[in-house]
Amino acid sequence: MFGTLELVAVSEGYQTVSSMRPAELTECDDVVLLSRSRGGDVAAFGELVRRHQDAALRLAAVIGGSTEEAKDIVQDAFVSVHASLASYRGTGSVRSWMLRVVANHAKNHVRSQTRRRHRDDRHARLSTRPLEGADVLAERGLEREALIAALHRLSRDDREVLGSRFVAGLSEVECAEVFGVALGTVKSRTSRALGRLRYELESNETTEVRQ
Amino acid sequence: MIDHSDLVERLELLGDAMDFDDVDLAGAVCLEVRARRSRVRARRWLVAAGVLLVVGAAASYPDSRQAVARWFGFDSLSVEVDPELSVPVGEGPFEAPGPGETLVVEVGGRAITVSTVEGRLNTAVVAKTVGSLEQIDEVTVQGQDGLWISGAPHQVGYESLDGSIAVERVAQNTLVWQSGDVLVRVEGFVELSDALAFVDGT
Repeated sequence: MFGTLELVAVSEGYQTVSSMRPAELTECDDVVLLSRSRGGDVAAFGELVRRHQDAALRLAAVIGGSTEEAKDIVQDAFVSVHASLASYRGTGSVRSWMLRVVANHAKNHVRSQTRRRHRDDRHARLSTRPLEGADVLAERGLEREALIAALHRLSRDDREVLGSRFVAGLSEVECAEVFGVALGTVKSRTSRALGRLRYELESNETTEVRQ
Repeated sequence: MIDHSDLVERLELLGDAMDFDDVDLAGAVCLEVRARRSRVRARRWLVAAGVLLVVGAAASYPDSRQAVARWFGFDSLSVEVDPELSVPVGEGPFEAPGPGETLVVEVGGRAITVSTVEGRLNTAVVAKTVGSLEQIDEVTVQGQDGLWISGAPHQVGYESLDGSIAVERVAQNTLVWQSGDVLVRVEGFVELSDALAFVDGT
């Protein structure tokens, strides 16, 4: 059934590439946009990028440990996605497929940087913007720093599952597709990782009180 | 079951506070996609012009007909690379040669060897056969586990499908990853990022 839908979409894409306005693109679903992109419609691919860049940037930031580098990682990843459009087989959602490429780029980026930079300071470079007034900001800022530090002390797998699930806002199904694991594995990893994150936060608070 | 909803909320707030509101990647990505497409088209025209020149020359000089036929692989299984002709690469998804086959392509003036061998990627075996662990980086290639082996000339050990170990000496930086029952090896890039871009077809 999916194959039929895709073929129809490709056919329509070739016929209407030049006639579809940006406003109309926003109403297309991801599969249609991907099919139009395969047919040479760069604007359709731009709409896909616009639609999923926020999750992609957050995902790259939590895996790469830097909001600044996340922009470059995601831009490169999306260009790779465009070059690999033909390889999408429809086994998962288009969004998950794109985010999987982003995750792989972010992982490779971290690995290539490992020799040049010690990981200790990486997650300190997750910059955030103020949400409230100065007093609340100060309190929230400290809480956020403690959370980022605790995340950093977790294993890579724990950090990835918590980051992608709650910071990047991916669903459990999307996490499973992005990281190529079973849905049950995502659920169990998430539960265990939350437990370990709580332990890290509480043990750090205890240490601060003693000091 | 322990209630972690407070932690979930804190993590979600962390995501909300990440400052990506002003980022618009679509324009930059589309610009790069169009630029790459233009470069590919230009390369295709150059290659087409080169082929026309070669064929035209063959028609004018009968002695070269056999050489042209050989270049195209019509009269034998061997393939000879014409040094005057640029080889178009990076035009889409990476396609590895069949098991046991080797392909040589030119990328940015460098000869890149792409080969496949039936076997399994065994990190322990590779670690034992490479001179130093510093030479090995674990990477993800097309969603699969792989290794980037760089630095001094090295040996690489593979575990064949029957379980035996085969060791080969490799002179250049090598990207190797598992693809089904075969190992794909890309040799000759200086930088890992360039090797990954080549595999990604970018």
